[in-house]
Formats: sequence, C-alpha cells, structure tokens
Amino acid sequence: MQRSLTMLDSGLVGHRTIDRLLQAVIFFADSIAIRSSYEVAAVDRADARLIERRIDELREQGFVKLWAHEYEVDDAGRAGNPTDGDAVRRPADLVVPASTLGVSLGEMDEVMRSIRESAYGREPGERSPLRQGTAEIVGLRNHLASLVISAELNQDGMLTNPAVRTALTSTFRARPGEGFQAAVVREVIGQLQLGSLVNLTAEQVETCRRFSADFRTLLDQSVVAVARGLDPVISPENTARELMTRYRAISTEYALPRLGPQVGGEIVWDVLGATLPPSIVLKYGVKAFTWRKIAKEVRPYLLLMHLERALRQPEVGR
Amino acid sequence: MELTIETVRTGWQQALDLFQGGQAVRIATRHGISFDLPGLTVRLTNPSDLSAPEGYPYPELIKDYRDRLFGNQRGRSLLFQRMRRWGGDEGEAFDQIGRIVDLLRRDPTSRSAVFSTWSPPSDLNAPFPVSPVGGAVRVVADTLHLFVTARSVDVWVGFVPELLAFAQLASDLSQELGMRRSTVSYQCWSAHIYEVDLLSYLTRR
Repeated sequence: MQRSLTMLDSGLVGHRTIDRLLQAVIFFADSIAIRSSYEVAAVDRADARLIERRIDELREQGFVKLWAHEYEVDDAGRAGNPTDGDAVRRPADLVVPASTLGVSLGEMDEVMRSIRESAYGREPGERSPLRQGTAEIVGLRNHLASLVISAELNQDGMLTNPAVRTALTSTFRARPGEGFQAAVVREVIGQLQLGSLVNLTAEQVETCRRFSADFRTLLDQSVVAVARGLDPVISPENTARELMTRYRAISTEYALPRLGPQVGGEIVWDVLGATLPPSIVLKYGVKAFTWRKIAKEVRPYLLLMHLERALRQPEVGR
Repeated sequence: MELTIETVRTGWQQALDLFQGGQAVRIATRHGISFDLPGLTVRLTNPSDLSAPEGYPYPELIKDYRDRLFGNQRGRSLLFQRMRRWGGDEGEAFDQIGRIVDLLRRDPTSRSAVFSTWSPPSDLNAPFPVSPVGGAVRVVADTLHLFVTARSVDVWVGFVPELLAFAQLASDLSQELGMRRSTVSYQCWSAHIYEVDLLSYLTRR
C-alpha cells in the first residue's frame, strides 16, 4: 500500500528538511508533500540552487510532491512565493481547493472548541502550569489546521518537524503513529552514526527504496504493539535499541561467509551487495550463504545494511 | 502602522482589513505561513463598549480571557500572576495594578504608573511566553489612558479577547480613580494572521 505524507510547515526548506524527507521515504513512506511555494531557509541560502535541484530530483523520482493552496496557483498550474517576487514558480502537484477548505476549517473550529482544554496539557506529574492563554489555543488551531490540510490533500498522515511533533504529542497524549516511527528512525540513524542522509545520491535513494518495504513492516509492527497496549512501556528508544541489537547480530553473522547456496537469488544478491565489498562478493558468491530462514530474518535489515555501506563508503554506487 | 477604532466590536473588521492591502509580510513560521504587520498601534477610543464583533467565531475565548484576568481562572493565568502577584512564588506577592491605583490616587499626574510582565529568565525561551509584556496608566484631563504593549497578537483569534479584556481593565481603573472616560492604546510588535485564517476571512467576504 502506498503511503503519502504531508510535511508540516514546509514553507521553509533546507538541508535538514531534505534529510527528514530522505529518512521518511527510505524508512516509512512512499512520498512526502511539501509546499510548492517553499523558501530556502536563511541558514542554507548559500546552497539554494543545490537544495532546489535536490527537491526537483526527488520530485522526478516520485518521492516528493509539491502542494499549494488554490490562491497560489496560476493558470499554468504553478505556484509562486510572493516573498521571492514570484521569481521562482514551481509546479503544484496537489492543490487544496478553496471551496472545501472553508467548510473543513469550520468543522475544525468545532473540534477545537470541544478540546481546547487539551491545548494546555502538560506531562503528567509536572507542576501545575500557568497558562499564557491565547498562544496555546493558536498553537492547537495551527496543528488542527495542518491535519485538515493533510486530509484535503488526501494524504495518509503527517510528517512533522520536531517542535510540532512535541506539541502534537503533548496535545494528543503520545498517540503512536508517524511520530513514533520517525522517532525510531531517528534513533536508529543515531545509533548507526550514519549522520545526515543528504549525501545519498539519487541512485542510492532508489536502491534503498528496494529494501524499504520490509523495514517498514518491522516499524509498523512496533507501532501496532504500542497501539494495542501489548507493550505500554515501549518507547522509540527501546524499539530502536531492540532493532539495532537484532541488526548487529544478523549483520555479524552475514559478515562471516559461512552460508550456503539455498538462499533465494535476489536476497543473496541484496545481502552481498549491501554488506560486502565487491572483492568479497566475487570471491564467495552465492556459495557463501546457506540458510533460507535467516535470509528471511535478514530481509528487514537489508535497508540498514545498504545505508551503512552507502554512507560509510560514499564512493560506492556513485 | 496605526489604527484608530471606536470599539472592539467595530474595530476587529478594520484590523482584519489591514491584511488585504499587501502591507502584511508573508512569513514562514514554525506554526505555518503567516502574514505579519511588524508593529501596529491600535487606539481604542471607547473601551466601555465590551460587546463582541459580529461574526467573531470564538466567543468562548473572550470568556476564557476575562476569566484569566478577572474571574475564576486567575490562579492558572500567567498574565494575572505577573500583573497582580509578581514574585509571589519566592516571597510576598506584588500587585502591580493595585500599586498603580495607589500611586495615581496619591499623585494623578505621575508618569511612573508602569507595569511590566516580562520576565527574561522565564520567558525568553518559553514555548508560550507571556503577552502583553507591559504597559502604563496615565491620567490626563479627566481621562484614563491605558497603554498596553503586546509582543504578538493573532488578529483572527486573539485580538478580540485581549483587547476586550484590557478595555474592561481600563474601564474598571477609570471608575476606581473617578475618571470620566478612558482610552486604550494597544501596541503590538507583531500583528499577524495565519494563512488558513486569512483564506477563511477572504472566503467569508
């Protein structure tokens, strides 16, 4: 099943945005919608052309869609940013229709009225908070409006920036979902010390995508476990640690060439391609691998193996 | 930029209209795209009319704000604590507004009737820092002038409750000090409206 997400607050795009886009499309989503009228973040303005080109590339690969409000779109289906003096106009793949947005926002305000106390929510046990008052409500409305826009774009969910994710989580009491998955991915990337994914080439991203589905299944299972209360204490950190323990064990096994020829051709090739230098692949070939069962277990971790290889040996695959 | 309004009821529309003329700057913020007027002063000439504007969609927020300054929500209000119980956590609470009334009773021409609500150690990095951040009260020619400085106001959502609450404060202080009338001068460093709300507003019109 295709999973399309909307990135919240994508009015500003920079290297960090691209990193998050890549994390999402490599690990748990098929495409991410960002604002067509985005501006390049001030801190990355020196790299504006590079960022623009990277977004174009990801869009051509189908991993990024550009969305716009109807009022921003011209007759040619392109949207501009008035801040840039309309110098940059980009295509709008998805458009929020003005006619239905008004109705949806009206419904959103009804919801906001009924849950406005939750805008002041704090962590359990925290000292009785004082309320600024209006700012919390404005924040809650903006988060709800983001949900509305995501729904208007027929997206499956939202990809949030860290600030909004924290706010949404505190508002809605840590409901697991994309926030949980994104947090697990962040942990995994941190534990693997992979750093930013922005250095992956378009080809490497395509290759990673071949392995995404199996890893996503693992992530989904974690989220379902939390949602069903099977493990109420499970956290993104614990989930990531468990994934990493299994990954380390399996990758250590595979680093030893003691497997036989029974493994299916494609997965063997994937494992070899992902983990071993070309010289080793040539030397041991398919004969190096034996068991189908482990090959099945390995499948979800091929993505991590490939990422480690791509980012640690950046010259490979370029 | 300055705007003179007679009442909040009629003035909200005038404030919203400021966002139609292309003077507002489009900004990508952490909450989304907003249209911003960097520095707006609103002069409210008749604060005694506390009725809400027709079509203002959040009447419950007007009540919430009043309750935070004058009603049963005062104990949980950051603004009330700063204005009327400053320093109450560590020692004796200081009622800035009460002291201002005392001062102006003693010396109606005083120019020192100033209150401040901004606490840098707490507010500078807070997710929801206090606003308004301060103000002053002056008595001139039988008129009480309440000056209020807000760091930021969402004109679609927060402008009406905030201005009505301070209109009520001006009226109350005016009565307490025996003045014939009052005005509110409300300055905000950011008067803004979020994109979706501007779209709602334009659609309604």
